[in-house]
This record gives sequence, structure tokens and C-alpha cells, in this order.
Amino acid sequence: MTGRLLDLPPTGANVVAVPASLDVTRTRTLEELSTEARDIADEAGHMRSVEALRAEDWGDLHHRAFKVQLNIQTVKNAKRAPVELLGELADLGFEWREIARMLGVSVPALRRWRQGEPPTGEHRRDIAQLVAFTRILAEDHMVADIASWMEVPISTDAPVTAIDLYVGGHALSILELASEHAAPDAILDRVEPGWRERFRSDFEVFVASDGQTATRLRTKGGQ
Amino acid sequence: MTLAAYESVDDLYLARGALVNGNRPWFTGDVFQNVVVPGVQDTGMVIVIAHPCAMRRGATLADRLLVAAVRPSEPIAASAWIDGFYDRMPLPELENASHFVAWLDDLGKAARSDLLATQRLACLSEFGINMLQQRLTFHLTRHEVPTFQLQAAFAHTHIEADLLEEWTDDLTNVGLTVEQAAERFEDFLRGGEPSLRGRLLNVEMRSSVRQACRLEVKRLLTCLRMS
Repeated sequence: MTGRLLDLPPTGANVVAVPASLDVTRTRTLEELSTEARDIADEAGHMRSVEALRAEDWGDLHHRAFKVQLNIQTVKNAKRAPVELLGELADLGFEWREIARMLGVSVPALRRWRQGEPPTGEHRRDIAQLVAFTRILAEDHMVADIASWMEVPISTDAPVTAIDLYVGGHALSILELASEHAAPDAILDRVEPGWRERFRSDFEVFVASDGQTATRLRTKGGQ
Repeated sequence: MTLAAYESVDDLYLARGALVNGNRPWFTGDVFQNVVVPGVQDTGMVIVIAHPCAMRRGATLADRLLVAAVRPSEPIAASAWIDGFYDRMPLPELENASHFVAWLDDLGKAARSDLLATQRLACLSEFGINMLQQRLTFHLTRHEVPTFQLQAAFAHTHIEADLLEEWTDDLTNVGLTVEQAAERFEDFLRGGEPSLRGRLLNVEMRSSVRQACRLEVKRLLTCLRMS
């Protein structure tokens, strides 16, 4: 069985660069065309893999650079008094309960530090790192109102926030979000497998006639 | 049927025993001891199940609060609460290593004066309160509401309680009583158009409300120290 890939010889404006391996000046068999197409697909696939590896390399380099930057800022911050660093987080508008969560301590423990009791060395570093992290996001990634940004769910389809990501040890995912190198759904797929099912709900929040919020079954059509 | 369950006991509590901050406003999920509940118990432990919106008129606590009886219990595995014990709320290690449960059938109203005269033993965490509300709703109506949906609906009430606690901590340090601090907080939160309290409903505006409250506390502290 024979056939033609191109019906017209390339002329004038429709001339395009054709890979040397594709001979379009003669009629070839479908088997030949199939082989050539497979070779090109293989080559394209190889090039995509190379590019993906390059992208991964860049991503990895980006992450490593961020970690170095975070470490340097953390060391600088760690020289400051913990109560001063906590005050800086409060001034940004973070909630104490969320700060405690991000530092992995109880609210009463955090209250004692706010009142001047010194945290242990490990916790002192954690506080310095959290301040460094928020500063890098705000200054290098132009995240305005960092406390609000970290408090708002990253997707309309799940109640997961950047604060939750930080608590879960996914600071690099927050960096990817802030630098727009990853979509929220892709990050949720990675850090919260099954999130679509887990956070699917037939309920919605509404403001009742007394001015207070309440929940109710979602009406048909979603609104 | 998959009601929420806790992974660690600490997930359930904001504070227990001596770590409970006396300046924290009373809230859903607070546990008290030696409380009379007419028709339920002559005295004993209770947990507040009244919704935060129904507990106060402005800065003033309601005269009587809806509570559930709390009694000792055998240990029950955390995973067992997912699909069982629907008439109870777990309160493991409430006092030292002792386990308790709140009985969601034994409900009644406790007098504010009784609660004021006694000691607060524990405050549930945000997760613990959502779990309590989920279990209460399911027990009374056989209707399962996801805890994350309760969180979305009522997060602003938790944030307001946190802000009032912080506000009271700071202002009582310079001589105001808890009641005076609460009244000033109420006035401040009502201010603005929309009000600061109204802005707490919007997740994007919450950090700015916290900033406003903290600035106001600094201003008040300066004024009170000068006077």
C-alpha cells in the first residue's frame, strides 16, 4: 500500500525547514513514513526528556539557592532577641495560634516566650527561620501582606493554606507558589494526595438573617 | 460514616490545667468543674457546648450557658471515634492521665454565676471544638457536617476569642480589669465601616484586623501608662 504525506511540493511562502531525515520529494510507502515518524517522535521525546531534566536541574538549583538564602537569613536573625522576632511576626498580622503551629509548639509555650522566657536553642532557630522565610517571600517574591497571603487557602477547592504547607514541612512548595513555578492543584496533588475527594463537600457557608455565619446544603447549580 | 478523629491528644486541647489562661474569654469547648446543671447533675464537670454567637450579648456573658455533663471514662482508642460512640465527645487525659467523655445526651443550662465561682480545667483547640460540634450535630440530627466546613463557617469566632485574649493579657498588665478590657475590645471591634468584626468574616482581611487591634493596644498602653 502506498500514500503521500504531502500533496504539494513546497513552494514560496509555505516553504518550511524540513528535517533531512524527512525526504518529501518522492512518494514513499506508509511503512517508510511510519518509521520516519517514529524516529522523529523518538527524537522529540528524547529532547523533551533532556529539557525536562534541565528544568528539574533548574528547579533543584532554585531550591538549593533558596535553602542557602534561608540559612544565611536565619543565622542573621538568630542573633536578635526571640521576643523581638515574635513581635515582628505579630506586626505582620499573623495569629499567635498559627505562629505556634508553624513553630511546632503549644500556644501556652509561645505565650511564655512572648512574656520573655527564653526558648531553647532549637526553638530560637525555628523562630529566626520563620521570620527569614516570611521576609524572603515578601522581599524577593513580592508577596504583599504576607500574613494574609499565607492564611488564605491556596485553592478555592481545598482549605489548605501556605501556613498548613509550612507546618507540614513544605516550605519549598510555598516558594514554588510564590514564584509561580507550580500551580496550586499540582502542589496539592503532591502534598495532600486525595485532596479532591477529602475536601469535596455538599455544604456551603452563608450569612444568616441574624448576621451570623451558618452552613447549609449547597443548592443545585452550586450557588 | 467517618466523623473526625484526633491523631494526638494534644490535637484536642488548646490548654489544660495550669496552662489555661484566665484571660481567655469563655468559649465553646471550655471544661469546668463543680457545676450544677438542673435536671442533669447536682455537681460535676461540664463542657460548654453553646455556640460562641449565643454565649454573649456584646461583652456580657449570657446568664445561663448550654453545657453537657463530663464524666470519667475507660480509655477509648482514637480511631474508634470515627464510627462509634456517637453520643459522646472524647476528652482523653483531661486531668493528668485520667480519661473523660462529654455526654451529648446529658445537656442542660448552667448559671453564669456557678461557672464564675469555679475553675476552668481545659479549653479545647479549634480542631477539638469543630469535632465537638460535628459530633453534637450528628448525635442530635444524624447529619454529618465535615469539620473543615465548620472551620470555614466559624473560624472568625475563634480568631475573635484569640484577639480578645491577647488584648486582655496586655491591658490587664497596666491595671484594667478583665471586664474593662473586654468592654474596650467590644467597642473597638464594632468600629469602622464595615466593622472590624465584620471584616473578620473575610479571610483576606483577618491579618489587617489583627494589625489594627495590636496597634490599638499599643496606643492604649501608652495612654494608660501616661495617665
